[in-house]
Amino acid sequence: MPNIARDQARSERAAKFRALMLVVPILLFLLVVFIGPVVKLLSRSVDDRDVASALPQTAQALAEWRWGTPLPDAAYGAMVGDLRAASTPANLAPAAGRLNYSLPGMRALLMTTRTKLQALDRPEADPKSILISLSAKWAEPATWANIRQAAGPITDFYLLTAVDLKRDFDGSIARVPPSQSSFLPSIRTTFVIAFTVTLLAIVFGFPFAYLMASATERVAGIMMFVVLLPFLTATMVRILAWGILLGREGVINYGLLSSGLVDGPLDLLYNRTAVNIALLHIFVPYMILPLYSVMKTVPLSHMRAAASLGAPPFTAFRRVYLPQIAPGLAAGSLLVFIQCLGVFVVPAILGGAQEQGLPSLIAHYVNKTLNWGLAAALSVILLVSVYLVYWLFVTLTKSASLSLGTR
Amino acid sequence: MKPSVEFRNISKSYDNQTLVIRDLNLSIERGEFLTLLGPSGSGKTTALMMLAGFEMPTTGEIFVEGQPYSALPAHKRDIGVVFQNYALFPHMSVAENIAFPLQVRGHGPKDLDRRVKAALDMVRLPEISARKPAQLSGGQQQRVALARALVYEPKIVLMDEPLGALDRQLREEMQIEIKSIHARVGVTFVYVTHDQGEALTMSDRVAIFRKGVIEQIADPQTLYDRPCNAFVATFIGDSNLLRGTIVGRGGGQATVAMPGGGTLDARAGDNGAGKDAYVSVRPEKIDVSAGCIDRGVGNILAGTVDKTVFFGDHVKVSIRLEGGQLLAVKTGTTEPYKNGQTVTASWRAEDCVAFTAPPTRDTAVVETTVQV
Amino acid sequence: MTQRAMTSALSLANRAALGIFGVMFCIYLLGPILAFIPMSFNDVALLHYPIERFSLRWYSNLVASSEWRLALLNSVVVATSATVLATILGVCAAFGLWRGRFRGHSIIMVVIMTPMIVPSVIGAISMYFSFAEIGMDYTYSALILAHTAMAAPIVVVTVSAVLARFDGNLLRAAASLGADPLLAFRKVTLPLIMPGVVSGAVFAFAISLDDVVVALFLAGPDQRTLPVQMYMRSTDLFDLATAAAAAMMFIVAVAMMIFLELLRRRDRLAPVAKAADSRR
Ligand SMILES: Nc1ncnc2c1ncn2[C@@H]1O[C@H](COP(=O)(O)OP(=O)(O)OP(=O)(O)O)[C@@H](O)[C@H]1O
Ligand SMILES: [Mg+2]
Repeated sequence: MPNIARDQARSERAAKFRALMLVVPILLFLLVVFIGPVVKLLSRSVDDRDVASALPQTAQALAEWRWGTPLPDAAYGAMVGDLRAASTPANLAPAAGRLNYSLPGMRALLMTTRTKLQALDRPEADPKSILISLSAKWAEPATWANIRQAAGPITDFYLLTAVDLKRDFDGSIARVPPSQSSFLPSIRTTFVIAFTVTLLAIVFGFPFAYLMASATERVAGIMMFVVLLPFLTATMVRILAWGILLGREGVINYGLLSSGLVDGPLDLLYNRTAVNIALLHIFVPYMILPLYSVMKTVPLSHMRAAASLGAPPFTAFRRVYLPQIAPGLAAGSLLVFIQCLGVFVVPAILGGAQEQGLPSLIAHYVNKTLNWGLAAALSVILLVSVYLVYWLFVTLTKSASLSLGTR
Repeated sequence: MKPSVEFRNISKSYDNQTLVIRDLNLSIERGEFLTLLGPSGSGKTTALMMLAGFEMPTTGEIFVEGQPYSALPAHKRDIGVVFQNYALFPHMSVAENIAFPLQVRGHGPKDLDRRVKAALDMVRLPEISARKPAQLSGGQQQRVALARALVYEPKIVLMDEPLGALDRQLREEMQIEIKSIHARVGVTFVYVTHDQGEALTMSDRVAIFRKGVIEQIADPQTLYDRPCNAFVATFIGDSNLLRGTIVGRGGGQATVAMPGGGTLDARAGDNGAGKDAYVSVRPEKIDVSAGCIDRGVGNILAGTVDKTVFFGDHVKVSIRLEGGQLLAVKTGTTEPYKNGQTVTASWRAEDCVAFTAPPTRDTAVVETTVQV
Repeated sequence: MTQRAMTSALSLANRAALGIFGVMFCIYLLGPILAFIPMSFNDVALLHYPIERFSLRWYSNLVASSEWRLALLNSVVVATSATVLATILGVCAAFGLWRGRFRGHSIIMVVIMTPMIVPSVIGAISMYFSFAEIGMDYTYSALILAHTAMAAPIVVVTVSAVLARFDGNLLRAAASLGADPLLAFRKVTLPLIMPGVVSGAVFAFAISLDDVVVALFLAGPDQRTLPVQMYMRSTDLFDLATAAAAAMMFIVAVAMMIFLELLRRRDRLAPVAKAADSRR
């Protein structure tokens, strides 16, 4: 009776479909509200269409031109045509901004040339000499090469810039001179802070979780309270608390001064130590909670069995205990590490210039210079790092879900 | 009258490769107490779950009172189920648990109270209606689950090893309890167990499952006395299985030559053509006497005592026959036997059956690809 | 319960050292907050320890300031709405994932986890950029939707954790007794997973209330939430109105903490091991 078999397959599919329909809303919601926008932002890191849309004739005229060969004469006419076609400066602004990122001075050049051209009568007659007479920069191949490289539709300019590289006009990739380099140090800062804090969280969180797991129920309850209360307190409150504690007029300096231990207030704030201390305070519960929940499941008998089989304490710890709590350690480290990578407010309030990492840079380019392409490129780097760590976690623990463990 | 339940050509596969139920045909009479008995993994739960509507048959159709049921969702079937772990709702009191199926069916509060009380009386637990399941003993939970499955007067009640989690004494009490409730309410019971004693004491009929097929379905007495093959013979109760060679056959009788000499007369259990014979005889049907006497009644085999084990009300004597096979005999405690002593075992021809297939024969080939 | 693995392997001296470490670390965890909160009751503007005269001056300043009042209101409105939405989405998803044995289960989980993994700055500017394109930046709806997205994963995780301990046979029992799937969910599943659902909601609320970064980008002056307002004022660390706001947020944290503890005590589901194999 094959039709019944088909009915069965259909009814099972229907049950699965009904279950899936419950998952679809959240997927759609996240896709529209979160994932879509993130993908869209990231796509801006390679998007380079502003120049070609503002200077279409020039882009076309330069398409075949190679660095080191004479500039085609058509380019001058195309440029004059494009500039005269831009009826207001605003039409030119995005392209001018983009060209200015890769060659400073380009914005001014385009804008003034456009204004001057508007005043001229029939500049199309001899565009080359007119352009060069308006600015000597039009005689430099670099100006044109810059335009050709920015003619899109996609570019590696932002991504290269984000790791302090640039593409020379002949197409080879070169290192930005250290004096201009600005991004690698920030990237390094981000990772150094994340590593340091994760390490500190293991060093302090492990024994604390262990103490909790081996304490009496009452003591463990109190310790859980001590961990959870700051954890549930808004991060902003905790940051400000550290600010007040460590500030020049803060609690610690007040204590030191009034006890006569120091003559003047110490500078405890706006440095790496302050940031590390505060970050550890904010993120260490993410280490303690998963560790505690796995440690509670390891029975005493396992270590006793290992001892009875002749394993010295450290061997027993390494061979029997550590493997069993490894998932908790992995989850804790992942949670602390990726959150440190993305941290933005703590360095902004408690750190100095040296502590501003990738997230601060991203925010800076969005807020201050509106350089979305570069912000997007920096986001790509940050996101790829975060997902590499997450992927490592998923393959190690075979679980995609991040949980603090059931209490 | 239509049977209460009918499985017609039912096959079931979970993975579309292995059949866990193979071409099952089974009809259950109204009011019958049928037990599905079989080793672990033989498909008992699967058969039950298909009847309850939690699994779909891969092929075939299930009829309940003549209606095809395969397409009907579980909540519209009106079949009571008692689960192995009882599945009492932990957040509801006993009374709320029992009232649940009635509320779902829209009964009014008055009717509800009355029927919940009646159900609790039936399982003899009138005073615990306000308690939560966690506050009950295993036996009490079992009774509540039974009351809940019966309170809305379903046509059929299914129980999947309902006594599995109870200790032995409670089990025996509950067996009597369930049997007497069955006698009172008179609905069809389908009961799953792998305890053969339970199956024999409680059931009107027992279906012996193995690897997805029913080996035999009969009332307990028939199963015990006339197993249809060596598997059933050894699965139900203790049974010796002696190997020999068929030397004569006819009139439902078979003559078997033993490897150590001598012949046995037995009922022919099947009409297989093979020469190999497996003679089944139950330990309590065998008489033992000291020495080598030929009393001339039925089958007689000589051997030496290998071992005796004392059980209080009886003694099990293990006899090594000439030819090396062991024969277990259950006997009274009066005669002490010494190891190595020569003895004679004898039994009537109608108390033993000769089969031509061994009990391990694969009657159902499980690794078959389903053609769907 | 009291003794765990390794205890036997540790000498008394080690245990004493570990105990001292435990106490010190507790001070590190609680100290800063406990030192900070009382300052909001200080009568004088400057930091003075010990506090000589208690006053509610900073609280009355806070309530008097329309900026702070608005921020407080915004936080309540946004966090509550986001919590409701995230809880509905999250509970449905967790139940669906539990019911269906999907082939792409872990891929779905990776997708759902995205807002927890993606650094909040990136999420913030992405959503800002997309909402701005359709003219929805600086609106309450944008902020609420963004917070819903950030809080929904924790609800899925929390509810999935209780569902893992939920005995699927109970749903079969409900069906055999005549309850259709919706009724079975309402009468059996929901009451039993309720503590998990509510904990998930509390965590969702905490996430929304905690957020600075997303609100910093998505909120205009009218939607500024309490943490954003505190961030804006953080250049002056010793503005005690901020301390008063912090004290209020701390009280919310204490309330959430007590709530979670009560929920934990009400959990009626059997521990994992018992029901583990009875599911399907
Ligand atoms: N949901 C399932 N998915 C896949 N295979 C299953 C499933 N349920 C049962 N099986 C398989 O089907 C076969 C029959 O299982 P079933 O549970 O019906 O046996 P049973 O007779 O009830 O055994 P037991 O006495 O141990 O309860 C077994 O091989 C089992 O592994
Ligand atoms: Mg079973």
